[in-house]
Amino acid sequence: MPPTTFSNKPPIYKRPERVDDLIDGKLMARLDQIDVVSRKIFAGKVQGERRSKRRGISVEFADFRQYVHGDDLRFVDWNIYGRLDRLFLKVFLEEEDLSMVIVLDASASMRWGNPDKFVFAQKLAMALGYIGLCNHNRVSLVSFGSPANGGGLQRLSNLRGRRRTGEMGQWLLRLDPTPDLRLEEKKASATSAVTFDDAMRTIALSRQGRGVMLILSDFLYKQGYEKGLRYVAGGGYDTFALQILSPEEIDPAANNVSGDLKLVDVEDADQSEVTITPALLKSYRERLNAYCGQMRDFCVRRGITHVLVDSAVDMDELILDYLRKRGLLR
Amino acid sequence: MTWLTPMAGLFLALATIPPLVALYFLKLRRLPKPIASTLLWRRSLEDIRANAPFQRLRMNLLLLLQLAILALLAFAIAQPQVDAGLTRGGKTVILIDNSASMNAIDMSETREKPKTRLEFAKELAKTKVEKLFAGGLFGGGSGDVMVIAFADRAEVKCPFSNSRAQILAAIDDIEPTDATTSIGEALALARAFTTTTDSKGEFQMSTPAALELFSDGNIDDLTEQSLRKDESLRYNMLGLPTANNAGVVAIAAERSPEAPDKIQVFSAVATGNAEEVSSDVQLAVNGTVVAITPEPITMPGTTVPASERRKQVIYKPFSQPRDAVIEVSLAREDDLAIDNAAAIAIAPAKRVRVALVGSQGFVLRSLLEGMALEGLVRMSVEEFEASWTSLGADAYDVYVLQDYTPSEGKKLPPGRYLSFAGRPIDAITPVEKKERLRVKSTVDDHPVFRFVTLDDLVVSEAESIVVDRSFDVLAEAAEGPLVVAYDQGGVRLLHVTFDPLNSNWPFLRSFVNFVPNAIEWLSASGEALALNGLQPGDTASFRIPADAKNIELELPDGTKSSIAPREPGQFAWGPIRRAGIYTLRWDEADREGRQEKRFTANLLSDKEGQIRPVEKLVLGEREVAGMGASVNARSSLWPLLLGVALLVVMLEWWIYQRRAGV
Repeated sequence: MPPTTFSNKPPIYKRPERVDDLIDGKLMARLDQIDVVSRKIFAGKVQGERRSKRRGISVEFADFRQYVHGDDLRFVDWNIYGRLDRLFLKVFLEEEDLSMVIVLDASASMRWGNPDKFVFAQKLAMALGYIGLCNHNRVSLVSFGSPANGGGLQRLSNLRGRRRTGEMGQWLLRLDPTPDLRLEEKKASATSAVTFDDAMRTIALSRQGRGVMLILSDFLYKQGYEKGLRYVAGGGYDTFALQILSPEEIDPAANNVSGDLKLVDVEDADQSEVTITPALLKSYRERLNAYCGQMRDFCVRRGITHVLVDSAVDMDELILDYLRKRGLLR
Repeated sequence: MTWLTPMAGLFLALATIPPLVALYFLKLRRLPKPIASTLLWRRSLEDIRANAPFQRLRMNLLLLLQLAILALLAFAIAQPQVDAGLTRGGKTVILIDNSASMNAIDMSETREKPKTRLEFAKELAKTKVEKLFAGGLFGGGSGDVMVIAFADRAEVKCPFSNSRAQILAAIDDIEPTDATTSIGEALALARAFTTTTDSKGEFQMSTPAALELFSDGNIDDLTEQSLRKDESLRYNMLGLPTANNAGVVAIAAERSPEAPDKIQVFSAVATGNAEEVSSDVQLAVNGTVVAITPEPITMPGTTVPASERRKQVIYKPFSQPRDAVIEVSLAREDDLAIDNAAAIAIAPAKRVRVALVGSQGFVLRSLLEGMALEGLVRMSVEEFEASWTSLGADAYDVYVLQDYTPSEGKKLPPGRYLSFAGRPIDAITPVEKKERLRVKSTVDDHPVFRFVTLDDLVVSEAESIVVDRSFDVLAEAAEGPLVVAYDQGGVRLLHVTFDPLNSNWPFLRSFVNFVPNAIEWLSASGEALALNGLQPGDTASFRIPADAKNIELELPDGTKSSIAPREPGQFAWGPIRRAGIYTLRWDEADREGRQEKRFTANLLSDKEGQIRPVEKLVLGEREVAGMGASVNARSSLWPLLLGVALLVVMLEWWIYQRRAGV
């Protein structure tokens, strides 16, 4: 196993091998109480457990409105007609299902950090997916960039219902972003891998219905994240960009980074020779803050919710507390 | 800080440091680290690089440590040494100035028990020698040390030696003098000891010598000296720039020929201070003050030209028929006491008794009769030779001999003679008669030629003679000497090789001046001290009675030493080291009590009285700045530097190991 962090500390997370490693029973019990919130209320294809923006057929009353010619007489409130001698229509809220798309970045850069960013992302995807399944939402999972898969897209579409949890877990376990060690040789071919832009474009084009899209990635793309996010912004999705960074990336100084280093990019084998100095670390922190700040601004302007997540944060705390506060879960 | 081998250190530094830095640029050992993305690092590096082009080198602890090691090694190879000590190894010549100015007490803290500069110099020199031999782990060889004391002349106190005790004893042995300062002889001596000639005598090789000078820098002949290429001079300056001194720089006393019992005293005073100094000047005769200047004499400081610095003090003639010691002194205290007073001994008023021997020429007789003499006796050659036993040579002050050659088997007894023609002593060898001689050269500054010019002299006939080296030739013609002086074995003779009647000399004014000059010079022999006294460094030499016994000399400091004259009737002692009044006492057979004669030695030197230390010595093209008289060991720093370098190597290795383990 190649070193995936700066330090030699033992990994905090083990690589998950079973579905139970991704999500345990205790967490599942607590997640049963939670639902995914969309700030937009979208129409679904089948009647679900969710209020739709569309007024329609359900038991929950929403409003009255004047009858106009052509309205279905079945919805006329005859009691009011009897009292006022005018025709009013009862309008009911329609309940429908929510499409939930979880996009998982499985590029090599995710297999890094301690705790491992990808393991963290797997667990988070599992938990969020489970919430979606529990609430009868239509859950789809898409991963991209996995070196084992030549960087192409992998999909698991249209899961619904709690009984699909195992299937979703198995699919997640099969994903492996472990970087190819023969990067130097493959450097040329690495460019043929599906980029974030391509993946987002493909996902946006193949959209089925409306819903919530959760993108789990570190968003450290040399070609930029802007173009990719633009595809999915405002296109019928309520998009959440969950930027997962490891503690070493957030604060290298606190994680024993020192000396003269040749930093090798695990994705494109790009090398950067650095001598760790206080000035360099300061500059790095400024750069990171600027990067995250720009991304947040970019997302806010396009109605995307940006959430920066430290891979060391406790999963319970993240889901039950942090993501609730950020309005993703209820 | 001095460097023994600066070029070696520089070469090492140049040869190693740039390559090390270059190697760091080229071959920096970097630990490869896979990383999620170099995106942020690259951007950070760009920021840093924009601000610091050499960020790679900056704060690279290992490189800094390695540079420090190289620098320390380069420093060590350059062999830095702490100043103010003696050079270890090699040859060191300690030159200690013991001239008059070194007796100044300006460096002394107390006036009660003052310490002189010379004592400070000796202490300093001893401390340096002690440190030189202190040794220790890195002591190394102490080398050879030579000790030379110099004033007007130089004296090797200790030839090259590596015996600490011998060197210290030699330094202790240096005694103060009141002489002037000249360093030329000392340098010549030092060079003589450092120069060796190879076995065939073809090549001279000189060992580089470090000269360690302890002086106040007031050296008369400094401008004539220069340092050789391989010589190094360290000037340990003694004395303070605030030194204060004024002194008597000239004294003379004369009995006037008309009134021999009256004495006229002339003196001059001057100061070596930068500012003017005022003082009363007093005159004492035999220790009793007889006159004082009516108001203080103001001596201008050294800012005015040298010719205007001396202030003349002339006293009215006073009556003193007997012998006397006349002392002129300044009524003030300063840092150099010895020149505050100057004394001269005056002989009793006395006129000369002259005997004229031989054919009694009219010219010479009438000339002598015209002189103010106590007595003039004419005697024949027989009477003269007969008187040698009855009267002794001391009966007359001067004998004037005319064409006199001693009878067979007789020899001129000790005495003072002016001789014309003849062959008064055997050392004069006649060669042949010559005619029409003209004077070619004369020793013009000799007292007998005062107001005498022999340019017009034509000698019609003279015996050409040959003399040995014991004679001074005072005037000579192309054919040989005409006037010679001889002073050996108690015989003081002034010999003119021709009869004046065989020349035009009696008609010339020079003859009228020559004869009295000659009589005065001959008679004043021994009593001539009255003019200026002696100076330290001179030799006291004068006549005493031939039968004098138990001769004893009392020095200015009161110590007495008995003297055994080399020749009867001749007292010679020297060189005089201290200024002051000397008293010579002896017994005479036919006179009661101890007979006494006093003579004086005075500093009388403008230069020596300027006791302010010279900050910078100029020797030829080289300038040597004086170092304060601080006592520090001069020890090599290279062992310390090597030790520090070793520690840094260990630190560097430790840090390297720590990093490599990451």
